[in-house]
Amino acid sequence: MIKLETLSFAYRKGVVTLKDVTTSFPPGIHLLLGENGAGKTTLLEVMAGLLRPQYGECLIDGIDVATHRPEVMRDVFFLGDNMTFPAKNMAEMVKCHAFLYPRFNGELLKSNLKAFGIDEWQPFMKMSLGTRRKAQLAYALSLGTEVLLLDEPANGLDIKAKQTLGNIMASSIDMDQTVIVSTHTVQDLENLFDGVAMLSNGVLLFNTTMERVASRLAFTASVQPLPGALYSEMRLGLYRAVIEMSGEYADADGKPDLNLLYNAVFSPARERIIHLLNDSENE
Amino acid sequence: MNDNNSVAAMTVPVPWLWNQIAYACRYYWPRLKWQVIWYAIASFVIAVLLAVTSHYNLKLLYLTLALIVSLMMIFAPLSFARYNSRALDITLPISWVAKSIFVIGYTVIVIPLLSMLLPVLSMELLPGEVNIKFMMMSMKVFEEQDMPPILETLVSTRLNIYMNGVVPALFTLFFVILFRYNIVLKTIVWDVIIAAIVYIGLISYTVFVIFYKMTEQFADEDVDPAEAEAIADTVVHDMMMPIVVGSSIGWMVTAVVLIILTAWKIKNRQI
Repeated sequence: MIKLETLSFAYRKGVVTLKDVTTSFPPGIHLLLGENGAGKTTLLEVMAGLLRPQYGECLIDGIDVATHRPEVMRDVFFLGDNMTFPAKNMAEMVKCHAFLYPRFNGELLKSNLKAFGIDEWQPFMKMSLGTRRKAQLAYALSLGTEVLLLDEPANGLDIKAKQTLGNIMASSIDMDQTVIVSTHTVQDLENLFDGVAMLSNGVLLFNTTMERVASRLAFTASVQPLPGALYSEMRLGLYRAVIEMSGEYADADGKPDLNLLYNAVFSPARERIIHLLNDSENE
Repeated sequence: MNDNNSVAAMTVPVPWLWNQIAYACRYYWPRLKWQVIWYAIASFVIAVLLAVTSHYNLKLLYLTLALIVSLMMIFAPLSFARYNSRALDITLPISWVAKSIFVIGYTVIVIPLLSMLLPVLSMELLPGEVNIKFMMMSMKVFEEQDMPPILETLVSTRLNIYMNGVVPALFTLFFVILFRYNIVLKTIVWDVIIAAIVYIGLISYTVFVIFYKMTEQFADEDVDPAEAEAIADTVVHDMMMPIVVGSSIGWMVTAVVLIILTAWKIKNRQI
């Protein structure tokens, strides 16, 4: 469980990147959405202890991550977009780094690397950007940390690797782990998410479960535009719509479409959608 | 999602500080490994060359070798910048105290031992015609005079090479921890700037004091060239003590300040 309390962060230039973020992420895989510059990476970096918030705190099992205490740091791992590992190859990385994480699973790492077709002795320097990314993901998923923060994990991966990533995420992540994934390519991992949070201009608009999204909003595709839809757009010859599950649409059905939800949040229906996803009265 | 949560309740105690220091060593080892190996080889070669240059009274070569040993120490902390893995360094599950003890200990103990041990042994076991102390004593100001014991200690070869290497090395380490981008280039530039400031300061001080004293001495007198030379020697001799003692104390204070600053920076380091 990761808990954020009135978290605010601003870079030195004075631009406020995170504004009063208060929420919690229970175990499960959570998607973190937001436009470019919304503060997603900053939020992940604050949660990883890489940035110190000006106000508020980020607690993992009740300990503030900013303290960098070993007992909390061994339960968090952050995989950034442009990270380098301080070792020649994965075998050396395991020797010099993985031993610091009590729940590291060597067999799982081997299996993950095999799934990506990577040899543990292959030097990182000789890997392409995508292969290095796959190796890093295989490693991060085998550490077994209670909190795993992945920033744009699918960046640089080919179609097959994205599918493999989805598979190994499903098989590697335990029920007690909290994984937060910041990505723009949601469709590759869409079925994995237990929750979705959205940031915009440093403000957390909502952080909710996929169950709640499915119980409040229906996502439909039709030849004709649906009257009363909160948001609709034309895609591949069909009108895709987000509709509120009330009144005549109370029994509407439709699997959450995260791309559509994202676009809907930037439409005039924004306030209504945020209200529906945050409102807990009708639980 | 995998429903194997048998490890959920696993609680492992935080290791003792000494274990954490050993862990830090293990973590940093891939980037330090080749430095340790090459420094050991270079140190052996320099030790042999020092013995030869000292035996044959090759002062310039001898000083060059001493300078190389200092440079080895000065730039050793650049190894910590290798791989540019700042995010992993910061989030490493090791306390800042253990990290600080390791990186500072490596800079002020391990690297000097590795660089200096063999050269110093070579100077002790195979003393030749030349070493820094003899060179200073051969300067005219110390001719026919005993060197004060404290000055003798402070100009000892070992302490000179150690302090000349370790204090700038602490600057290097601090900059490596401080900078986020272009770490190696920025660190070298700032090392050079600081060295220039220190040496320009020392030279300016020396020139100013000599000028002031000479002006004072010769204010109302006609100058006899022989007398002027003798007075100049006395002035320079009188200055040696404050300069050597002052700079040594300055080095030590700087070393302590840099150690504190580096540890503080490691504690509060951000991406």
